Order: sequence, then C-alpha cells, then structure tokens
Amino acid sequence: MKLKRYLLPIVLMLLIQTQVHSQEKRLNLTLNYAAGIPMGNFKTITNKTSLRGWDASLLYVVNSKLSLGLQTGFQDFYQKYPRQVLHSAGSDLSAVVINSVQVSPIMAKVKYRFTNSSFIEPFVALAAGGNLISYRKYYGEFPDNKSAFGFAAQPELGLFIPLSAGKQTGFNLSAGYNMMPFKYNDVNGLNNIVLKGGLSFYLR
Amino acid sequence: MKKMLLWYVPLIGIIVSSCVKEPLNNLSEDESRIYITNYDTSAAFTNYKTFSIADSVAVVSNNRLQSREHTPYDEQLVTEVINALQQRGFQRVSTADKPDLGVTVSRVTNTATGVVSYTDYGGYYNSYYDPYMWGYPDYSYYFPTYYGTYQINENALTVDMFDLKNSKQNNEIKDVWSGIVRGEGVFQNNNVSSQVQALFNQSPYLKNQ
Repeated sequence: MKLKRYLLPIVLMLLIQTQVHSQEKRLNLTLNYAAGIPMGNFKTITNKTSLRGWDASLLYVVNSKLSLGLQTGFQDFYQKYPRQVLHSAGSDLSAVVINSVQVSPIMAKVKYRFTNSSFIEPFVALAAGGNLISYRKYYGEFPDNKSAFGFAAQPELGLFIPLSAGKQTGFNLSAGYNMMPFKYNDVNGLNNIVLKGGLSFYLR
Repeated sequence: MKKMLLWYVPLIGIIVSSCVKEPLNNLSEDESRIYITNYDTSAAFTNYKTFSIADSVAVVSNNRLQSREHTPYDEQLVTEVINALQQRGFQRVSTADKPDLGVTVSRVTNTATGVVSYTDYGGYYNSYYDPYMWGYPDYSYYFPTYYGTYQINENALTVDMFDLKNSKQNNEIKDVWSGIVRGEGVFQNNNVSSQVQALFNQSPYLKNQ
C-alpha cells in the first residue's frame, strides 16, 4: 500500500517541524463511540450504517502538536435481506440472506494538532496497522464463515473541544475513512466512513 | 466528580455498542429455512406428461434407510406434491401405466457429533456467566485442557423426480429434479403446504406445456 510507504516520512517531517516541549510529554487516552458507514464495494454486502462500534487510542504526546501511539476499536456491520431466490446453472436457492461483518483494527497512530492556542483544537491523524475480520454470510440459519487478519488504515479529521481551561479533558469529535481490504467470494473491501464522538483526557 | 461522571459516558457507549447483532437471534423459524432445487439442464420437462409417486415416505437417517412411513404428515406431504404437479399439467398414473416421471419423497435426519475444546469455549465464559454472580467480580475463569462432545440433529425434506421415460435408453434412472428443504420446523404439519409451494414456485420450468 502506498499509505504505508508515506507514513514514515510524514511522521519524521512532523517531528522535525514541531518544537519539542518536554513538559508536555504525557499519555492521552481517547474513548469514542463510533458509527460506521459502508462505502464502495462494501455497500453490496451491507448499505446500513452501523451504530455498534467504538474506538480507543492511547497516544504519547511528543510535543505541543504531535502525538504518537496506538489505536484499536470495533465495529459490527449487519444487514438482513428479505427472502430471495439465488440462481445458478441448474440450481436455485431460496433463502433469507444475512451478512454480518465485525472488524477490529489495531493500528499505530500519529496525530497532529494544528494549534493548541485556540479554544477548539482541530487535528488530523493517520493510523495504519492490522485488522481482525470476521465475516459471516447466512443463508437462512446456515452460515458461510471467514476469518482473516488484514491491513487497515484510517486518515482522520477532527476537533478537540476542551471541557476545562487546562485542557485536561475534552470532547473529541472526528470523522475518518477506514481502508480495509478484504476479498472473499462476493466481498471486495470493507471500506467505511467512521464518525466518532467521545472523551479525550490525559492520564496522570 | 462531574468529570468522573463524564468519563463514564463513552464507557457506557463502548459497552452498549460492543454488542454484536447476532444473525441467528434475528431469524424466525420460517426465515431459518432454505429451499434448494437442482435440475438437469439438459432435461426437457415439457416432454414429460405423466408421473407416479410413492405413497409412503422414506425415512433416512445418517444416509441409511430406516423405514418407509405413512404418517398424517407424510400423507399431507405426498398430497401437496401431487397437487403441485397436477397444477403444472402433469397427470398422475399408476406405475403399471409406465409413467414418464417417478417421484419420491424422503425425510432425512442427520446427526453430527464433534468435539469442543474448552480452551476455546472457556475463553468467552465471562460473558456467559459474569464472575460477579459468584461474588468475585474481578476474577476470570480458568479451564484446564479438557474436551466435551456435542451432537447436532439436522432435518431435511427432499423431493426427487426421476426420468423413467428415457431410463431404458440410458440404462439408468436419472434424477432430473430434486427439491430440498432445510432449517427449523421442516417436519411440522403446518409448514408442509408452504414448503412444497416454495420448491415448485422457484422451479417455473416444471411444466408439461
């Protein structure tokens, strides 16, 4: 993936461009509720927005603008299609079809805050790593299962809205695009837009 | 304190949202069933005019014939198949009248047994029975390496049509159409009619005109 190739230079560039403030080296934990909106080919499996998701990131604050760390999360996608007859040569199958997909990415993350002087702090972030995938297609009560470990990347744009003057705790609102390649039968990619909202705070 | 409370907001969201919508929990008995029909693509069904059907139903268990039965369920099943074929223009005749098609109906029960490893099974045990119920909320379950067995009984209903008309030509009795119903409630009397209808509705080529 091109993204992997560009990740290291981007991190290095950000490190060079920003001034290090040793007093800001702390751990920041963000917990988000997440909604996933299927995109691209994934919409042929499910076009329903998933409201069953979360993510969490633990980042080391390198300086006033840059943080590095890990992000993990979970999203459950589900769609039930009414009974349909599936045709193939010499064979027909009538079934209620249910697609069920769970993704659990575990990624390295770099986050860049544009400013820490304004009340609301906009940021961009990029995460990349692995993805635990569970795919199940049910024909009636009969499943076709596939589990896999794949690649995942997530560029993200967001806002940090502090709850206090010291900015120790605040709301996190962001949107990201999950790039999740996965091929199996009629599935070709699990890309989705993720909308997140939660709390971000510093661990003491 | 307010801050502490706010921290619980996303935590609650996490707990709620981590629930997977389980497909099998969202299926009715009717939705659980699948209907499979297979047919010989080289067969010209319009060339078959007559059929004969066995009155009794073969009861097959683990690929072995157990018995032939004629319960009220079987009788209803055979009648529904006869009606469906006659509605499509096929004429029922006795075997002595050299029917073009031979039709059979079977009840199939397969029992599968297997071994479950408690190493895998026990990994989720905290979600089955929260250790809190024993008064040890912070504890996890530990399972030594031991195994258990399980048994699955699966029922299926099958209807087959054999080409008798051309059997002498090929020295074989070829299955030219088969219908299979699998899932929950297959052997319930009140489902017989809809199941047979479903098999024939998805086989529009089954007609002799």
